[in-house]
Amino acid sequence: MEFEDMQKVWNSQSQQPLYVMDEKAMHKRVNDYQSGVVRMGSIVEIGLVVVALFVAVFYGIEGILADQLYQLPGSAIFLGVAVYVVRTRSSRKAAEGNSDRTVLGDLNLSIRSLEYQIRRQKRFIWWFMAPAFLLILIQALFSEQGKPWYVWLMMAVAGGFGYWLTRWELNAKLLPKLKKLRNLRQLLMADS
Amino acid sequence: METVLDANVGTDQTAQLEIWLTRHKGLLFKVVHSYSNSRAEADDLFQELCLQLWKSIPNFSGQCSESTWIYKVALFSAISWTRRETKHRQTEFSDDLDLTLAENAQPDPRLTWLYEQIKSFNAVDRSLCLLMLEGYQYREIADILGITSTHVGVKLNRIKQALSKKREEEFTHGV
Repeated sequence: MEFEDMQKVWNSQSQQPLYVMDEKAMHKRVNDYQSGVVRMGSIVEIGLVVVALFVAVFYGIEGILADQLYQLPGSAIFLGVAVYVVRTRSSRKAAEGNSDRTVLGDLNLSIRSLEYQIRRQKRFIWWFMAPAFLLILIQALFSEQGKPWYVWLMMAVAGGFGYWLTRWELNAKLLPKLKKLRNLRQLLMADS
Repeated sequence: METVLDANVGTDQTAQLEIWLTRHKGLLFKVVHSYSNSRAEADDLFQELCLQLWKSIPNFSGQCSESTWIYKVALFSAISWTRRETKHRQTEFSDDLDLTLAENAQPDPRLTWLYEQIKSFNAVDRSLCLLMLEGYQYREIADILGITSTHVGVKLNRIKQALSKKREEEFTHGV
């Protein structure tokens, strides 16, 4: 079979499609899938903003109402965390619209987006755990009654779990995906 | 960027996706068949392509044809697609695996051979081979992939040679 014959065989597919599609089932599944993935795409960022804002507002109000001004720096720190997440999210969103609409452009964009997520995950301990620790420290130093031991235990477990979760996502998902996309880019660019 | 959609769907992305699927599902099937190795994978990849197409609709400005846009989105999605854990999926969705895609009973054996050869290429060469067989010119392929025409030419010559060699080998060995 010469190349021209291969082309004819290829063109014959239009007469007999490779698959048949159950359109109703497909639409339902795509709709379910879409809404799930769209939500999942921003759920981590939105969740972090909500948590940080909640902590900031809670300690801010409590500090003012109970006249415990030592709570205000913690509130400000978490407000800063919320602003940081919103700003980095906006930068990422802005970058998403900057693909040159080619496969290579999309690859580069995906790689940049993954690199951003990886950087942020690696720094999680500094921009989220450290402020949380600082807040706890302020509470411990200035609160008159102090906190019962199980509150400290709960905070330690929650912090440890959060850290483990970010490391797991980093090692199991983000880094392998980044490696794959870089390899693809290498393949696309090879011989050029 | 202004989105160019069919007049009767307004800004309804899902309605636009349905129109695209009706017009271009053959194109998507070719991509799916070239990048998947089982029915479960085909099903999974097809859904991924539909999702990525749906997400791409607001960015479609009409600077290229619909089919070129769909090819671009589908090829990028296919080469960067990561298979899910098939065992897990088969257990979880065993009842509806065939709902979305069902293979025809008797495909042309020459076409089967051609797909086998395409699948033997790496992910990027598969996309080049598909575009070439679809009749795109070097310049158009270069525009879709984001590389130079010369680069496309070099790669496609190698692909054509590889295909001819494989065919020759099979004839020589009486296959």
